[in-house]
Amino acid sequence: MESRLDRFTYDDAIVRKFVTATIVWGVVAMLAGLLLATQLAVPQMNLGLPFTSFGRLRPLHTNAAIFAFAGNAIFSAVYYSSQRLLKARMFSDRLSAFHFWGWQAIIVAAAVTLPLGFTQAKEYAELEWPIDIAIAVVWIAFAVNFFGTIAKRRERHLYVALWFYIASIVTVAVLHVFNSMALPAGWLKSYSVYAGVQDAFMQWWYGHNAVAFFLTTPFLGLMYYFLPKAAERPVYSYKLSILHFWSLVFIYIWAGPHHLHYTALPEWASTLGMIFSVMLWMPSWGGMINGLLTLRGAWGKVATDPVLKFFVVGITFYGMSTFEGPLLSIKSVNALAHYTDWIIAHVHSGALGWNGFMTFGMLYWLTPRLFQTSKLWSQRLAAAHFWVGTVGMLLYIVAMYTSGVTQGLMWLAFDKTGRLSYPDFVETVVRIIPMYWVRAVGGALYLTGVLMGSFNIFMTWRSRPKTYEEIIVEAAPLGPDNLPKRAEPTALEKAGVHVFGRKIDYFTEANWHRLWERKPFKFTVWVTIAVLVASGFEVLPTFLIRSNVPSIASVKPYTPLELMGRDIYIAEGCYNCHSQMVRPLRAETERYGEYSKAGEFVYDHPFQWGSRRIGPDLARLGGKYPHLWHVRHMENPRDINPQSIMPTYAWLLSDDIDFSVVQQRVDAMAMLGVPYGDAVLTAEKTAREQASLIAREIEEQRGPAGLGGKQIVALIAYMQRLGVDIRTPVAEPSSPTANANKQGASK
Amino acid sequence: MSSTSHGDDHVYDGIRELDNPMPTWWVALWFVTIAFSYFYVVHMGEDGSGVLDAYKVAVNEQAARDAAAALALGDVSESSLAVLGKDPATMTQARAKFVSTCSVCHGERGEGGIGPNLTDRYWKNCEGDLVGIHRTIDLGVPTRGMPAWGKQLDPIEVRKLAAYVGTLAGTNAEGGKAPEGHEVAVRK
Ligand code: HEC
Ligand code: HEC
Repeated sequence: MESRLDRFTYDDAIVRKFVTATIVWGVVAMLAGLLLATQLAVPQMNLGLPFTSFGRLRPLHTNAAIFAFAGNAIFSAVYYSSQRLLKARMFSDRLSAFHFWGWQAIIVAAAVTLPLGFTQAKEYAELEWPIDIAIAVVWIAFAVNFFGTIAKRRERHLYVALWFYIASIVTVAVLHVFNSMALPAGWLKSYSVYAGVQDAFMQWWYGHNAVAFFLTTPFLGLMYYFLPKAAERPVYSYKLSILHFWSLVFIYIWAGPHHLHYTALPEWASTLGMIFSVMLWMPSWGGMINGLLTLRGAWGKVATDPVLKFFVVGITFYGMSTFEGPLLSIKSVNALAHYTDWIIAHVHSGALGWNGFMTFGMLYWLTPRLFQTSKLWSQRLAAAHFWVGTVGMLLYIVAMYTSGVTQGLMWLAFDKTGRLSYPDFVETVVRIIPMYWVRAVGGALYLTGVLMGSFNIFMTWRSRPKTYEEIIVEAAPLGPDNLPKRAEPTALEKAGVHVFGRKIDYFTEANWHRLWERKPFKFTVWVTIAVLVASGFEVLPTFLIRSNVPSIASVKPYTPLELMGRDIYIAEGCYNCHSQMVRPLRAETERYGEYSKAGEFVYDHPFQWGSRRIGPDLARLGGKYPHLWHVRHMENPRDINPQSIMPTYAWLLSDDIDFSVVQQRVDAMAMLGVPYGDAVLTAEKTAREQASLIAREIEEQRGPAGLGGKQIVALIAYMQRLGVDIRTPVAEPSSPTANANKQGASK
Repeated sequence: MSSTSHGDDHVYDGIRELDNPMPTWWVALWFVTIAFSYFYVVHMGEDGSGVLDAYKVAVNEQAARDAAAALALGDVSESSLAVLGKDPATMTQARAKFVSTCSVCHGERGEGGIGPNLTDRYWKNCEGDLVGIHRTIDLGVPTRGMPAWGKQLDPIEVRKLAAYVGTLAGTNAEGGKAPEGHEVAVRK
């Protein structure tokens, strides 16, 4: 065996690239976040420009934080640790470079298109279809490179970190492909192939599992490599690794519907989402326990080593947010928390605490090694970063809890006569503005910490050697896998697995798993099966069983102009502040009107239910205000409502509707099965007619003249349509609408 | 190392993997969550325990409360509203409410803006009678942008506002919006 050793090098240059990108995008993402935070406290910070308004920038912030900052951190971890765990250089340097530059190009494309209003309007999946395709291509390149490296490995068994990487790579691909299915209607415009309830279901199956397989499993892999390395302690429990790995992979997938409690989603799905979230608590904590117990005997080191400090707090935040997740998935807790800042607190304890701190722990350990300087430029600056970051994060999270619970309780509060205590929505906004300031301060502190870290790493980089030393590694080649028995206790094999007791032994000793670890293909297939089976059980019934989306006869497709208005609503990112989903809670139906029914959304490609109510729900907006009210309100919300924090949208009064694309968009909708009938032939003409009709009505209301071709008119057409289809028309008491209403109310 | 340890083959890039048993409390809590889920599903299977059932109960309770309150307040009538309009203290209160709630659309003095002028003698939705004004405010004109205030305000508040709007009629506020609807002769 020791006869012949391979001599090779690891590709650390690619890791250095990913590390640099992590830091740069981290700063960008957090700067965007800070701007958004101040915009909510001072709406003038929207600057009155389309590109800088909250609705367009918020997706930029989330995408940058998740895919640019955390993404590049993951790739740094994967490229550094996999090569060493597999004792092999990456499969192809070309693919590595393609992966790196491709990913950065995607991020730049996102940073350009999102502020310009090109979006698919599904959270964390906003990027338009050409970029979606690019993501798939780059991801496949990454997968080939990664699995190629596994194929040429010199280590027989796959270490637990690699299991997590495998699960992440496979599942993210599946999620991305299925959720992003869209029909193009132009180069940077498309409509989700799913509508309404189904689109919502797909989106939150994706959204939830993006948290699982982009922000959790890869970071657990990172933890399993860098934590024992930094602590110089053995990993606590192999069996715990196995159990929490497989249970995470299988159970996570089911939990998505907890994002849609009390919505028009069928209740069975919501219940499934809740119970699987509850059962997910311990599997998540398995990772935390294995991490923290790995530090047994190293706690003295934690007190002095900033790397371990970051890891310990990061893992603790992981534990906190994975306890909070199941809690928030309990329906009655969710009734209070959903749509409020509590969720913002929750995701930031994950993002800042877990992803952020794990990333910086890794970077502080990694960069002196990558830059071949024996140590970090300043340990004290790193420790200062730790404290500033921790304080900033705590301020942020406490502020958002306070604001979330406060606003949630205000929305639900009734006075003694049973009327809403705070019928005016803005009252509930004004109350939390002080918390928005605290959040902004907390965020600024956290960012300060990140800047300190960037400077520290920059200074470390400056003392690098002139040329990096190419370190030669030696390892024996693997050869054919003709030793399947070697890892088994031979006694077991001899006795034969037919003996029941032996079988149990085989199972509890995890020997079966030990076998899988030497068979990456089999391992990957099982992970894929776990993910697909769980997804199938969860998602398919909503598509296959018609009774899950009872149709409502009076619900008709949007007119061409309304569709254009809806596209403006999407482009401006109104869904980032407004929901369109009235929950069946009396506090909501009193405030907004009849609760939303599944059948109302059958033509909504994509759905626009929203996830946070910074402004009020708009599901029943149609007819609530005269056109002129909307003109004034969009021009400057503070003219109508002095305390409003909504951005101004004055450009909608001067920008023209692009009538030339109307036909194309209606055609795309028709192709998706929206029954336009003959109307599809005259889309542009119909749109123009409706636009001039509304413009005339605005003039009659003594509003400004000449709005006929302006975007505001299309948006108003859409807003006036919202929720009116199921309203009983006063004039025709025996219309099908009345029946639909009755059915809805009695179910 | 005292902990149970694998042989050398559980070492990866210098990281050793121990095989300690899983913490008992961890396993136990996991079973508890699984048991909870089981009982939850069984319970939710029962009739009347769904989200919409709870909603219906809440709506019925409120209907009962509203009915009791309506009985206590007595009927809405021209005379009961007129009485409110004659009390200066009540009208001062109502004016404040009007300014804070209605002026966005009707102007501070009722001169009109997004909504119609309330200080002329033209009406779109009633004959200028207090009961009719009350009905408009209470139920709104949903198709034309006048909100239904009965859903948001206390019933007594709506009555006071109706009485207040009644006092505005014919005051012809300066800079008022052009009349809408039909003219109604002076009453009283
Ligand atoms: C920064 C968050 C934010 C964004 C982005 C935003 N809004 Fe608002 N919106 C609010 C707030 C807060 C209110 C409540 C105060 C008010 O009426 O202005 C509101 C109120 C409204 C209302 C009045 C609802 C009612 O029932 O009284 C409408 C209509 C509305 N917004 C439409 C839009 C549209 C259309 C867009 C996108 C072009 C949009 N908003 C973008 C925050 C936002
Ligand atoms: C969002 C704007 C808006 C607000 C706020 C508003 N109104 Fe109105 N109101 C209207 C519009 C628009 C009409 C005209 C409806 C129509 O065309 O029939 C109207 C009509 C009326 C009428 C009937 C006028 C007629 O000619 O029949 C009365 C009375 C009235 N409002 C009272 C109130 C009171 C009292 C309040 C405050 C509690 C209020 N309104 C708040 C928009 C509003």
